[in-house]
Amino acid sequence: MSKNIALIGNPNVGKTVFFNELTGETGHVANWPGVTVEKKTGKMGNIEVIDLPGVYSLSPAAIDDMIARNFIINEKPDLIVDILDATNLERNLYLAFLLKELSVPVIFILNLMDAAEKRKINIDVERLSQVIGAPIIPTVAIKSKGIKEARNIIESYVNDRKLARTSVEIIYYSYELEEKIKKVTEILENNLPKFFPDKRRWAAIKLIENDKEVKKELYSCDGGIVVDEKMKRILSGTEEFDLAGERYNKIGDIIRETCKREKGVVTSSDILDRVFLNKYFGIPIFLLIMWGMFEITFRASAPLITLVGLIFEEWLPLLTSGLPEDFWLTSFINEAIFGGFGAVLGFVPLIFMMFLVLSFLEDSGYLARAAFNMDRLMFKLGLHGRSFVSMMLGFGCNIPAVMSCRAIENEQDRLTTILVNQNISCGARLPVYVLLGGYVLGNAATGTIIFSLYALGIVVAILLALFFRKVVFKGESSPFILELGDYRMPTVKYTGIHMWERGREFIKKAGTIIFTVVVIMWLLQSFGIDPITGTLAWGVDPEYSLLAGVGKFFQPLFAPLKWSWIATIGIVFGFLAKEVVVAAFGLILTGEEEPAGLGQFVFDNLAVTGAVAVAAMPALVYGYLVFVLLYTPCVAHIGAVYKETGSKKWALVSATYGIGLGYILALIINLIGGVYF
Amino acid sequence: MNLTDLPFNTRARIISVEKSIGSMVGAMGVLPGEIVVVIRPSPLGDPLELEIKNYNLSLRKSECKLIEVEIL
Repeated sequence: MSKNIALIGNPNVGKTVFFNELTGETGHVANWPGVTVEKKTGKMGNIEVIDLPGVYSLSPAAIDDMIARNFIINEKPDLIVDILDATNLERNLYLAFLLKELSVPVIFILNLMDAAEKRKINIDVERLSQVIGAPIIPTVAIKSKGIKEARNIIESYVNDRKLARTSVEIIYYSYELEEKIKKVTEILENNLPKFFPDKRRWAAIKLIENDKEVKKELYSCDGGIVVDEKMKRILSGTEEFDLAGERYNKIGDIIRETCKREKGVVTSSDILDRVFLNKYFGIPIFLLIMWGMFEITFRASAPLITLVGLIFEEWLPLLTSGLPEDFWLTSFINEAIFGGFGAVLGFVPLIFMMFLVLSFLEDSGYLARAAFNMDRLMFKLGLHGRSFVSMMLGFGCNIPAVMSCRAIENEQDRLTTILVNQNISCGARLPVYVLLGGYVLGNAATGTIIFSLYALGIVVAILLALFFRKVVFKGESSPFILELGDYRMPTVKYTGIHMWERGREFIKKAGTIIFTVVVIMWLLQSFGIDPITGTLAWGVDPEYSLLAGVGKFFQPLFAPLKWSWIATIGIVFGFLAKEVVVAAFGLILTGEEEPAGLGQFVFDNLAVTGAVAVAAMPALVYGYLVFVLLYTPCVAHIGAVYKETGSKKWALVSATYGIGLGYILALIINLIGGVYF
Repeated sequence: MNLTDLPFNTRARIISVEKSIGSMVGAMGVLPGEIVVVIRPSPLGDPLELEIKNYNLSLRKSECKLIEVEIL
């Protein structure tokens, strides 16, 4: 059987970087069974490396903690590698103690040694290793320092079971607590010998701590109630605090012995916080950063979008110019691949740029500050700091954002966050904004229009959250406990990796769902009802194609908004996935005689011919974009909401409320913009 | 006094933490006997940024109210 190790550590200790340094390019991401928290695995030689979620403790209240804990207990990895933050050793050692209590082989990585040096923290690593009774390897993972030593020690520990067992050492508490632990262990031994037989001390400690999961396990055993009764006679009820307090006392002793810290060192993080969390500037800077995020995304990707556009519209079609024009394959390549699919791929640079900026913000440590700045607002809405993180993820894609809500403990908070997240504009909607945004206030203001749509989405999400929380899901919110870790300068390499891990999901989706939908649309576009013979035929005038038929069938629904059948096609297929909105337009355009650019073509055909005055067109375009923002994100999103809420009702609510809301807002915008006069 | 009454940038010792939040903040090092400083409020007034065990932690005032402290 192949050997495996598990990486564990507090959030923000550089665990992901360390994982990548150990495993190179072999890492891949899947979900943990039963839950949708990402599970990353990779290979170091022939040793499997599992990246456990970042956790502060192993408490049963948090799902991430339980994933880590259950993995360690049930899968029994050959070695646990706990990554510690050298700048924050005291709190990091708490998790180390919990791991030691589990009596599993564990070694430690002391990462961020460079940051500790800057903070003038001096750690006696050798002494620390002696006190803890396990190897400790100092590293600067981001600079690949200490990785070789870490690999060597990991290998020798994994391959030598005896050596690994030397790192298992019992931590003893005060006399009073030890007496209680001893008594509970005896009760377990005598009454339930099969209850965690190899981890009886741990189970006893957890029962004394009143750990929900172990208690549940106990009650499910025959005779569990009796054991519980016997235990109650020994315990006073304050043990939970006593244990945590004693752990920290012991850690305090260790720190005093091994760690020298110069007082009064002002770090660059402190200085940055004085600005970013400033009473007066904090919020304006937050808004500026959000706005800048979209400006950068849009401006930096514009040349690349033009380039991809050129490739699919000008250069690649030259390859097929030799093929006969009425041959079906020519039509398929030109219209479906170059026109439709090419229109989607044209936005790959944009989506990657979006992910790049998002990854940069996340890796720099600013996201936690944004949550800190915004929590008051979130709390007033009955939401939670974690809701904010899920909303930020929504800018990439709403599906992982919905899944990330699993981390919210409170059920009301969780449902509300799931249901409002779809209003956060995902990357797939961005292409439509870019395509048409310039027609509202001119090309120069495209960025501002896009920003306004994102802002509108956020406002709608907030108002809806307020509604859901005050009317539908009433009840208490859960506490907001957030570490404000040091700012870090994101490296090109790791921000790049981060971007790629997100972006490849889009590429995957483009290659499967989107491609399939585009092929279906192409077939619908290619076949039509011949207006003369009235039969199904190949290659009729685009006006009479089945695709146009679909548009015309649904168009009456949108007639009050004055949208044409072409505008309707975008909406109908956009229900499946927002990326195909532009693909649908691209397909229809290639059927045209003289293409004048996709954006111009769509703009010219967005309204019912002759029904809208030129002066009112900007309002119509904006209303259309608002509808695209607010209606059902995609089919996969409905599935995700169903899976996460476990309720058909909420999936249906999520799938439909946006349609109504978008419709009403588009109507209002049309009214204000003078579309009806 | 509780944490919300504590002036900013003043060192104080935690006397007690209410049981309802004890296990949650305990793992983060918020325990009786610990030294704590309130650095600043969020620009909107809530939550507060604390320094404890040489790192920075953010807690809402509603939780801070449950933590009793004495000025050193």
